[in-house]
Amino acid sequence: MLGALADPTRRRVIEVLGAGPRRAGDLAHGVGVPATALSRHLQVLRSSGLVTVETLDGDARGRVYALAPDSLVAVQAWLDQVQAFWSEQLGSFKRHAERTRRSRTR
Amino acid sequence: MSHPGSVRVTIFVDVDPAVAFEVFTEEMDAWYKDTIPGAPVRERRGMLRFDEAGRRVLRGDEEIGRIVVWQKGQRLVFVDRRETEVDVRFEPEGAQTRVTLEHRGLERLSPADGLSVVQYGWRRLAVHFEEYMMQKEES
Repeated sequence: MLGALADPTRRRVIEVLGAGPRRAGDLAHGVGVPATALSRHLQVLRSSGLVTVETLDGDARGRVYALAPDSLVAVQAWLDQVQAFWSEQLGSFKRHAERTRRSRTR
Repeated sequence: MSHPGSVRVTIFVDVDPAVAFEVFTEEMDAWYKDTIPGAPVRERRGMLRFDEAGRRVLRGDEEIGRIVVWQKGQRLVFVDRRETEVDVRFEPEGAQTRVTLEHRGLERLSPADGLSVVQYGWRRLAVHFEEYMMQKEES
């Protein structure tokens, strides 16, 4: 899982899919890379269980990619994100509290 | 070991617990990082704050959570609209305060949940993600 997310393009894919499922073309546009370049990244993300794909209308252009919500690795990756979120917030809290205290005790 | 659907973060702050609690609850607008690139302006504008008397967590005038425990100088617990729970403890540790924040009930959300993206999400944290994952891989 960490290997799959070590690549910035793949993290961008996860980020875009975090806002909702996307057709392959829309996903490539959202990520900002050509569809041809995206396909190998999607292959990695699918094989690591982070992303699922459904084909609509029996048409390859109708392939819709989504985050795999039940995937343990996806959930763990997301929990890591939440933890990073709070680490960032508490770091900011600490800096503010210590700055405020110094100014008060001066 | 914490619950699978929870995360925990601990930090040490160079103030006493009473001050830490006060800063945490009363000055959230000063320390809470609430800028979400690409988010609607409404989301960026509303500042998070605690309404102790009304037992509410507010973003601007909108209620986004409820205060469950308010022990001044010691502990604060609040729940959001999805009933995930944030438990913050302030404990003396020498001249410092150990602040332990545990966010529970996250199994009720998922990475594909739109609200989770806005509140805690992938998008906001993308900038920090790379560094964070690299540290994890090294450890």
